[in-house]
Amino acid sequence: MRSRLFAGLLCLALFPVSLLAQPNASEDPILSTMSQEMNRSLGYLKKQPLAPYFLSYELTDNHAINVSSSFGAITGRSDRRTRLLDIDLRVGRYDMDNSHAVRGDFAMTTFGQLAGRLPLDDDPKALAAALWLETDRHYKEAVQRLAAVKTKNQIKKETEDDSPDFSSAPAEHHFEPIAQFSFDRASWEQRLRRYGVLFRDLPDVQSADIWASGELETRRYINNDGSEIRMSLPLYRLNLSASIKAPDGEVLPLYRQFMSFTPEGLPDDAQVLKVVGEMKSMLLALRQAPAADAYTGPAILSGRASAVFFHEIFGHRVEADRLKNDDDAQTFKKKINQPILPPFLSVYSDPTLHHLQNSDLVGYYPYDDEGVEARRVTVIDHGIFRSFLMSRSPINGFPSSNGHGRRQQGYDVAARQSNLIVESTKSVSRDKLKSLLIERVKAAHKPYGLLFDDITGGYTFTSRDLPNSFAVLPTVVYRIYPDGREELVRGLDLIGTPLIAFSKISAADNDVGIFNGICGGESGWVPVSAIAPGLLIDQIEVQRKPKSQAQDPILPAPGAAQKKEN
Amino acid sequence: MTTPSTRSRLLSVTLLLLWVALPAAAQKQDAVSRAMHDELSRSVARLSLPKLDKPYFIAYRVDDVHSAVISSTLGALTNSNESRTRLLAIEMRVGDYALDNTNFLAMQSLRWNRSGTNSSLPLDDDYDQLRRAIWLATDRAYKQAAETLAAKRSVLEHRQGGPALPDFSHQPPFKLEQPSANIKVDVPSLEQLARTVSAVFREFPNIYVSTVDISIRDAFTRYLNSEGTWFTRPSPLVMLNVAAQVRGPDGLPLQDSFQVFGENAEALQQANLVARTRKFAADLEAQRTAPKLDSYSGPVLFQGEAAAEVLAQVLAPALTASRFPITDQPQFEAQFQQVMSRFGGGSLADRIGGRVLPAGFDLADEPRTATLGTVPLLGGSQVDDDGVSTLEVKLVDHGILKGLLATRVPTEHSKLSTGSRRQLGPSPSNLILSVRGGLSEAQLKTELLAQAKQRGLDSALIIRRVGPAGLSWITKLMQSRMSGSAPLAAEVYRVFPDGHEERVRPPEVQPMTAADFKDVDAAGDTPFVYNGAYIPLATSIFGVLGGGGLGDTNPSLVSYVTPSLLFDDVSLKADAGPAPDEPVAPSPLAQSSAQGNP
Repeated sequence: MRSRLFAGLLCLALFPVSLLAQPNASEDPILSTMSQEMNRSLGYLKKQPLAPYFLSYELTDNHAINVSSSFGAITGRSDRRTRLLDIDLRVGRYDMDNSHAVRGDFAMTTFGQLAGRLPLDDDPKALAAALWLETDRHYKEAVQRLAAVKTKNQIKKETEDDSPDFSSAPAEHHFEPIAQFSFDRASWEQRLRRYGVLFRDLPDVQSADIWASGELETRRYINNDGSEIRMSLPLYRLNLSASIKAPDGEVLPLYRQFMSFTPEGLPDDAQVLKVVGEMKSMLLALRQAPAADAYTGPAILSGRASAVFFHEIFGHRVEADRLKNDDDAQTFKKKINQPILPPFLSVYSDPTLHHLQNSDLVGYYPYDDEGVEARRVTVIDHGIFRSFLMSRSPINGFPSSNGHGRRQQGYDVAARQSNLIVESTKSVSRDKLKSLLIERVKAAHKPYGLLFDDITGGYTFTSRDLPNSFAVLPTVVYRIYPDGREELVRGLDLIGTPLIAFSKISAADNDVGIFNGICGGESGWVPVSAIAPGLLIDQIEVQRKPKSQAQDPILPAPGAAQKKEN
Repeated sequence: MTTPSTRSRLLSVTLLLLWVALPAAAQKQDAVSRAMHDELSRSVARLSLPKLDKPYFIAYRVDDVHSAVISSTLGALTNSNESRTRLLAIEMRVGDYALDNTNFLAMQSLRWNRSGTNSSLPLDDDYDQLRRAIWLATDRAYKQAAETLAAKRSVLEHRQGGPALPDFSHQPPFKLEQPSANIKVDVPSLEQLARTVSAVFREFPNIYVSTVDISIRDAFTRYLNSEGTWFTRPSPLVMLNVAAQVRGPDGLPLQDSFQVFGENAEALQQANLVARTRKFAADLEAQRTAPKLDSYSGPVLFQGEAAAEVLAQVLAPALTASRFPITDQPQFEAQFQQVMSRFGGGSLADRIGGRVLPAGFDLADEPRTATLGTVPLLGGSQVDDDGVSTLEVKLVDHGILKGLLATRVPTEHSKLSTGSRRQLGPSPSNLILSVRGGLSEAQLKTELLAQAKQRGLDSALIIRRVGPAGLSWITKLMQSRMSGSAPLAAEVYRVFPDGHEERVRPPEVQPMTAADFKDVDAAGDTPFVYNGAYIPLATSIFGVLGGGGLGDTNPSLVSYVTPSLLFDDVSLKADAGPAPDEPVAPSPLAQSSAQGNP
């Protein structure tokens, strides 16, 4: 989805929940039980020789309803409620506690550890019993871990970053009503059947998977500093993916993803049918498109493609927790107050932004998973690098959180992206950007430039023991010839290294693209958005996509065989 | 003279003829059956790659499963998940009955025959999409099978002798159509039951962990193979598991559980669960403060349920015929077998014709026996997972081992199937131990004390329930892996010469082996029915990896029937593991009626 906007006139809207009538936290028996049990357990734990100095409970209720289909036949449906508990219990001191990283000590991290499972019913006794056991378990683990940290620190070389392990944060009180949630699964099943069946007549179609889901997530957070927070937000999703096989065997996928905080925010019937029609046309065109070769030269990234590009190659490198890890490449560690982008570009991370024009931004949240109020962070100001995204784990020069401590339930919190916004103060029209590209093509004596119009995602390596490179995986790429002609091609991945790629950005358009997605990282999967204008990059590099080794099925598809036999 | 190519043509013709003989019912049935039939027909006729072996046997199995899993603790739900799945498993055999792609395990490339791998099918009865999914899964299965057979042939070329046994036995076609059980999966009512039963533990604050899990499965299987076998079969199963933990005064965790099984939810409603759970919880609390027994070696009477648990864990796994697959590492084969035998994991295959039980004992597997008196036996079926008609198998006659339970994978001692494939390998169904001239429970107790006296012991042991504790090497390992510590036998009593009994907190029962059954001294006269899972020998797990056959995701339940059994020499030794620390804060349940804070 692209919304045509002038980047300088981005309409920023704060989520209006804070303006709604505020119910009272004391009306929530679950929060009361959490608070009572925290106080009761802490009463005993404080008498131990090694007492906790910090304790938080985050209780996440999730109700998720899904329906999935293949070629219009329902393949799965589920309706599931979970309640998960994450406990952060710290012994020691802010400057060194049980969370302290030890070099080379991978096993000590809680990598994807399962969160404690709690009663789904709002039963205070059962909940208190579960909180009691989980708190005790975390306390014993924390004591053991701190002893290990102290021992290992004596025998291991200190890390480059000697900042404390945890920062203080003000107590917060925020209480939202439980959000309304309604997902009509039966109706979505009918819709998915209707949409999926339309793909059956595509020649050489490989897959046509469509799924829809609705989920309501309600988070309750308390800590022993007095914070008490309840947030409740639904998320509705519709995903369409289909693929077709080219004559040379390459399988060409296309994806369309829609996310919204309201059921009405998803496309209606007519809009989905239009999308299905566009996908079918594009798949047929891709099947006929020539396979492109490796290339270096100028290229345009459309707004959506630029958004993913920035999320991957920039966003992950400003998540501060990685800077504590000496094995990380720490691309921007020494770049504070230095130019790393052209002066017409600024980059913000703004989790308080609920929607942009007609699109909800799924990286929105009012408080992060450490009870810190979300805030807008200027990461790059007119090309100058200003700040990292911070959780409550400080790094040198950045002693406190800026509300970006996030996690999937069951994982340890880390600094993560929210809504990443790239703004340009010097934008041109899309047509002008194309003519600038053609100028660059001619100047460089290249036969053509490239336009990356749609992109499925990407990945990046940030550790030192691997080349510090990225790959962005486009699905729709055009060659732009000096005469202005556009030719669809297939089979390319955009690759490169971040600092060089940034230095080659030379212009931006006013065609802002929005990408909503679910991003995986050390602290699990979290919803994020990225917003960016189209960008002209003077030199990019592309390589051929890896080719599948799978042979075609031996027998023709059953339907095809039938038609032939008839 | 018949050339290889003529042979394969003849084979194809034979398969096609067999196919024509398939029941007409399958052809006019629902979309799933039609899709299975049509795709199998096409694959048998046309699926092949040049220069590679063709399929000589294809089987499809489709399981429609409507299930729910519900968990609760202290009267509150912790999980409730209802689901519907439709899974396809394909058994693809290329080559011929003598040599095919199965019974092979390539250790170096970790390649084995995975034809039993399940794939999902659409839940909608959409013929076209069902066909499409079956077509793609069949194609994958064939390519993999052909590749595996090529690798197997290559390994065989470098081995002395080659395989002496055929890979698959012949079997006449079998047809059976049973309707779906269509049991009611009433989730709200089961949720309420779980809440009610688990709330009992609120009365027992010393029990610091307690769970009630209910699972209900309404499974319906359609099976079709290229030999002309077609069956449909329901497998309804309801299971309730109640589990709890306390700590002894020394901090050692004591855990116990009990299960109730049935073929519908009514079985749970009728099981008087609240009263039973209350007694279970009270017993566990009593166990907590019972006197501790440090070690014991001597006669032990396994009464009722405990006798069936010994039969299930120790003897039953040794009664199945398994075959270790050919591997590309002959040394591994030999070493693995040795290690497993050392841990008492060997089968009784080499004892056929010899004594394995005392003379008055008979043992049979009776898949077609539905009840014992009025007690239902839940392990039975008219057809096994290979599509073979089941029959009663007399395993032990007057103490002499007559044979083993076998699938269509021939072994040195079992050339033909006994209709015993359940899930991935051979398994008993309703395993019934009967004894001529059994003693009353009182006589058994007298006999136990007499034996103890002979050994110079001042008391003997009666075990009435083993519970989550393991008795064999493999079950011990599994239980300690699942629970994090080695659970102890649940109900153990010390019996003194005057006949009075004293409940004790026992040490761990040392692993028993099938050979111990030869020396059973006496047995009771009243059979006890116990339902439980079948846990195969470690040695047969590799046989399963290599042996082909269709994966079955339905849990397989076996009914074990036996009278009480008196063993003359069982050892119990303390497991000197450190006891974990008590929780720092007391349980909020224990405090709820007292003061809130320290």
